[in-house]
Amino acid sequence: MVDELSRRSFLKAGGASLAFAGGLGSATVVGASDEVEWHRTTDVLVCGSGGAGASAAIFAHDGGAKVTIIEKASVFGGTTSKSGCYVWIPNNFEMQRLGMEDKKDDFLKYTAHYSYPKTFDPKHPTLGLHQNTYDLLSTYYDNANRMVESLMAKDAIDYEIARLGGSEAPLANDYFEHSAYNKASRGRSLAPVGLDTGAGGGSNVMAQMLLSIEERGIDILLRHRASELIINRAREVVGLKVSGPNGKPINIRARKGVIFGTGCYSHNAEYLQKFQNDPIFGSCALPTCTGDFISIAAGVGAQLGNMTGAWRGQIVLEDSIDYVSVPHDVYWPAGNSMFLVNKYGKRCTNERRNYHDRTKSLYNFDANKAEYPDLLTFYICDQRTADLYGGHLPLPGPGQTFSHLIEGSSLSELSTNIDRRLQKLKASTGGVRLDPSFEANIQETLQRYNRMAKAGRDKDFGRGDFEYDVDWFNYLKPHSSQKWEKGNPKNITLHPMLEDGPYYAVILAPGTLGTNGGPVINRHGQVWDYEDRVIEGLYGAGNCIASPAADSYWAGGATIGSAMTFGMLAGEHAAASAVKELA
Amino acid sequence: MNTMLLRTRRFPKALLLAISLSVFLWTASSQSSPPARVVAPSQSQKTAPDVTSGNTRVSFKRDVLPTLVQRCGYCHMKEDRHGYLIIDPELAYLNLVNIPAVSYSKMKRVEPGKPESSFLIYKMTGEHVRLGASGSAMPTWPLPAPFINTLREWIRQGAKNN
Repeated sequence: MVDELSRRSFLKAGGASLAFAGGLGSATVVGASDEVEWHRTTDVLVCGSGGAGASAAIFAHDGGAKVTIIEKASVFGGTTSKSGCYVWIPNNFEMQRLGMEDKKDDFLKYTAHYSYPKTFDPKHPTLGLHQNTYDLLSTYYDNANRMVESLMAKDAIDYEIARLGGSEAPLANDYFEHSAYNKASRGRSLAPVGLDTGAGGGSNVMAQMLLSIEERGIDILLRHRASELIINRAREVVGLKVSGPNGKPINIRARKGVIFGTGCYSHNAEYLQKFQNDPIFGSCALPTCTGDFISIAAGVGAQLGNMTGAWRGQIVLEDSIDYVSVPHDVYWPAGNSMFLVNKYGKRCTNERRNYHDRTKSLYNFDANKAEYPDLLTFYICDQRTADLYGGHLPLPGPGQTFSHLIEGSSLSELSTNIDRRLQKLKASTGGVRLDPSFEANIQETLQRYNRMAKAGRDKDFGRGDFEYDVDWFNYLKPHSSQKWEKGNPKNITLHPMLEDGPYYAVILAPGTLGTNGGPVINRHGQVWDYEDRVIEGLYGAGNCIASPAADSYWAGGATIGSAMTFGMLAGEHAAASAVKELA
Repeated sequence: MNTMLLRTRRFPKALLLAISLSVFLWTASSQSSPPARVVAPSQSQKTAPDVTSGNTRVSFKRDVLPTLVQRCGYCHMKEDRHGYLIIDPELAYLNLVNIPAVSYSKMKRVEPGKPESSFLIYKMTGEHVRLGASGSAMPTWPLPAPFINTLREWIRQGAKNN
């Protein structure tokens, strides 16, 4: 017989985890081989075709397993296809070639301190981290370069050290490059070969990985959605219920394991409300990223972790209304005669810090007003920045029209027009409007900003004080112009704004590249239950699992680098594991 | 590790243009039967067709669709429809050929036989701005010129669903 393992029965069986997981999920239990009609059999079943899933599939296959991939979307590649596809690889082959040192101890301290500042202790054996978290960081260091070199040797990817534009440009630096614990702040990020010369980003990387997968004869089933795990009486995962294109259930027998690389939960409104502390307006994750692994894994008692975490970025508010998946995050607000202000017309962050930390900084809560004053921010620039940096987010390029752009011949008119736009959008913002003080304050903000810009020093937020601010600003090249001075020799990131209009604005809101909470894995990518026991046959990697990054973004490529590394480890381990018997 | 060796084995970029999807979809009636192949697998094609001579027959399914899906499909999927356009293996053709462009109603996305009147070409080359159409050039990661040439030639040859 086949019985549904309900939450209640799992609790009786010691699966107390389900209460913590909010009562999510169920699983099907089999007791004998003839109890389930199997429509397909494989050794390793990989769910999801982004960087994590593709990596898992290739390594599982090359470990000797018969592999099948299912993908919920109608296209292969996941959110990785949409990305620039940096991978962050400590002590990588390029650093070694260039004689750059990246010691493991330094790497661990940088990541542990950045991600877990509250518990970090540099003298503690695990740096103050939970043993498993420490092990995951350690495993990442030990295996990331092997992942890249192996995939390159297989012709599945092609990477080189990331430079911020051209062969003579600076190496890409980490996102907390001036951390006291960051001893190798440049060089860990690798970029797809040709990223800056039109070869494409993640879509090209995933096309290359797809070809590698096809050459191995791995079956890919598009428009197949994982729905429920099938386990044996020993609670080992032996297969998966899948919903095919027609919606009918298909049972896939996975003799050695099921690996999830199914992406984040950014497009699951219920989960966002349950797990995220602060408002999120949208995401550039693919619309299929609805956190399916959370409920599926909870059905077998998986331990969940880092559920409040995300890879964050500011997005154009109206993009989040127009699309399910926004086209881009606003990684670096265009130009240097510009600033971000809140609904009170006051600057609220260092506009040149990395997109993740900048977004986190905007969740400042005002205890007196019980509000997030910086939740919506307003990118403000002058004609100079519009001319020089048009085409860089969030500005339209030369000759382009962009309905989200708000214009005003003066700051006063711009203020009026911003508030009118907010009135139109109030159903999507909780009714946020400009404070009556906005117009007066933004005039003062501009004057204060200009005084600081002329002096070359941002006393309020330190814009331009850090290498990251300067290098990533220089990465976005201005258009040639005889009319405008490009840089401020005292601080290139901080140029005075024109005293006269026109001025331009775009409404920005906090969003994600993807959430990064889900089932907790060990160093082999195996999912744990709440007793820290392995759930045999169940693996995870990528944004669908509890990232050891917590709510920090170590550097460009930390998302996909860790996803592909733990995808590799899961694939290798699953391929080498024993067959899980049905009875 | 010998990185120079890796460099010599670098994946040729032109090859990526020719990559096609091997898509196996199970239909409602075929759960226990072999999957139906809806797009030709890539193994049979390793190079993009040479369209410079004008004598090569361009195949939509072999030469155009796979790259369109791989490079555009992650945004233009059923679940989102950026620009009210779906580019997936099943619906791409129906969404492109003889369908008016959303941001420039004077043109169709693809007008068979007339690449110069097909908005898709303008959008992919950034020339849409010259027409006064809105938005950015697509896709986010620009398509290489050889593929645009293939696309143009496919349209010139009648934009057949071949």
